[in-house]
Amino acid sequence: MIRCVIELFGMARQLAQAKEIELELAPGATLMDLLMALGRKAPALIGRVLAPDSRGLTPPYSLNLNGQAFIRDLESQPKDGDHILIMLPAAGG
Amino acid sequence: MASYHGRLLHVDLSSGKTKVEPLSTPFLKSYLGGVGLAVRLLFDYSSGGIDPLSPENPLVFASSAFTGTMVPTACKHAVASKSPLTGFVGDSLSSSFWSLALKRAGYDAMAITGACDYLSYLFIDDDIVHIKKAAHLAGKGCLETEAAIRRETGDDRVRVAAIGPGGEKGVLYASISNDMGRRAGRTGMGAVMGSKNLKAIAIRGTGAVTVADLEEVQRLAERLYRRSQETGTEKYRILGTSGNVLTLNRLAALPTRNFQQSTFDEAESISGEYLYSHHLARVVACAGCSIACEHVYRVLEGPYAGTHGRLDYESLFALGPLCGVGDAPAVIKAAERCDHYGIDTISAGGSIAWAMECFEKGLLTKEDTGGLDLSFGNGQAVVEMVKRIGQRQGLGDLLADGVKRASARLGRGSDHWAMHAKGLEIPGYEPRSLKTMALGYAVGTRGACHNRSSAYEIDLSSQVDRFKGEAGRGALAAAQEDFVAVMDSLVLCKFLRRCFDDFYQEAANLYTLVTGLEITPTELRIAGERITNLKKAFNIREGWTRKDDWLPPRVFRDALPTGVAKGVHLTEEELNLMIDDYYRARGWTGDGLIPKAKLEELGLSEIAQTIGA
Repeated sequence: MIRCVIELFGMARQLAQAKEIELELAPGATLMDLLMALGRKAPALIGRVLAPDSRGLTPPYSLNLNGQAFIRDLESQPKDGDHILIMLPAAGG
Repeated sequence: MASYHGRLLHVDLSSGKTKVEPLSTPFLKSYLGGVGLAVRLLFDYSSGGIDPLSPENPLVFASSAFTGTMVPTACKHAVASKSPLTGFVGDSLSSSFWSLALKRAGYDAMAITGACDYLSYLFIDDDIVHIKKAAHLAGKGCLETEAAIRRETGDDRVRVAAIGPGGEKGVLYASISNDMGRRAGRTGMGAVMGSKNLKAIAIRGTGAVTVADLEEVQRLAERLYRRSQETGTEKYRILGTSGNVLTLNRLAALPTRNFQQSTFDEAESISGEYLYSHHLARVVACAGCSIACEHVYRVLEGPYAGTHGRLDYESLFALGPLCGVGDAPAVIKAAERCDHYGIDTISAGGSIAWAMECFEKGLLTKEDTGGLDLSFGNGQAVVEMVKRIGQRQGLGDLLADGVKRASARLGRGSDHWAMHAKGLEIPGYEPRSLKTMALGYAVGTRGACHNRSSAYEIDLSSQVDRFKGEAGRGALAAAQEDFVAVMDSLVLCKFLRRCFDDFYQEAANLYTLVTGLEITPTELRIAGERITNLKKAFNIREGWTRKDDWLPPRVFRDALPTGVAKGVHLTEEELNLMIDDYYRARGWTGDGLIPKAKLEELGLSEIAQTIGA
């Protein structure tokens, strides 16, 4: 199993009532698998932050890996210990 | 032609005379309105080398094609003048009912030249213009002034734009406030107004604003309205832009302690999330806005009990993390004071942060600060310094001139940490960990500006590696500038930008339906390029050279110490590479000058003869 930490900001944090959510995923899981697991753990995010089927994010939310790069490819596979940030693009203000 | 009036009101304060001058259809279409129109009129009504605080410096206000129509977020106006802070083009945007009043009074723009002999205010009553004595308003805060004039006129339709004590005292980053909290904030437009002995401009506008195709404009406006209520704007409506604090902190892009760091240990206590839970009083919308982003916060207890302050991200970062302050009530109080005195929060915070670093390094002592402990993190000191800047009192007199001049006067190497570009203090996006933004700051015509550049959007996407300054950034940054120039000239609030599927296509269509003037998406995009080049041409006329497109020494010599950006700095090679790339993308020379052919291509032939390379 691999462990990833989802970090939430702004409205996502308000909805999930959590700053971070830890997930356990099967080896080889993709970011899409991660989002679907997140939807099961924090269903309040579905439709507002997560897409209605949890297989993506509702625009304009984006994924950032470990505070470094923004990721669009949901087929990419997170590593054990990765932090996945779900954030709205900073703008303004 | 619909919506536009084809009229410019020219007020000469020295002679007391006014006249209405025609604005032709092609002229209006070329510059759209807002920033584009204001800067073009500024260029035409001024000449190079004038003192920004002299009567010769025009102060121009411009409405837009969309103002006063049912297009959402379009009740805005631009202000332009030669900036007393930078010596280059100054342009600023504000919004709400005053913008609407200008349009309803029957003017697309107003150019104010000369100066009054004594403190005065203008009252524009549709076609009739009064210059009234304002001695009784001297020293009053912005909000007090607005309220006083509206009481005097006894008519709720009268809307007022005013300067505070900061503008009267010539704080070089004084702003112009309207509608109890909106402001043309940056580049010192309030100082220009103060130099004209002009305390306020009141307008009663009772005319109608027409559109060419009412049914279609209504349909598209309703669609935009609905889209502006979806997730694309949810952040602005609920947390406001203060939600940027934790995001940027995590990305190590939150300027802290005068850009010594890019993460702030106390970010949680000053975050949008914290303010929402503990201090939110209400959320306010500008006139004609379907988003409503303005967050007003209150302090219920402690030494600042009773304070109500408006905070966006930039004000929050500048008076908070930039000064090392994690005390939300103190930041709210400092913001309220900036509003009262009528001074730009970013420049005020940047100037105070510079002074704090000078204090900690021993270049300034308690004797210089009048006994104030100006250490980073002292919120009470920030609150007090805002007052002293607004009154030009003690150290406040030095800081009222901005960090570029302050560091030149103080010397002793303090320019190393004077964080500005072209004299405009750097906003809340750390250039070392957002390198396209670094380029945007350096080449920005009004100085270090996130708003006129929007280059941070490139860094905060999957398009680029934000930690590297590479070829290709020039074209991206230029495209963002031109897009912003169009938004700032139509005028539409930038918070609407994610509500379009194809911005140029939809905006061009809307412009055509509103005005009856056909414009294609390509023509609209070229208008943005024209406006950006015009602003550059203004700066060239003021003596701009390539060396003005640069960033302070800290950015190159001091690596970021914390967070995911630890060890990162910008190299001079990186910045030069990106600047060269940007000039090439713009079709400019290697020195950043605009070839005559480029100016002619953009319909700026008359400028080409004097400015073109």
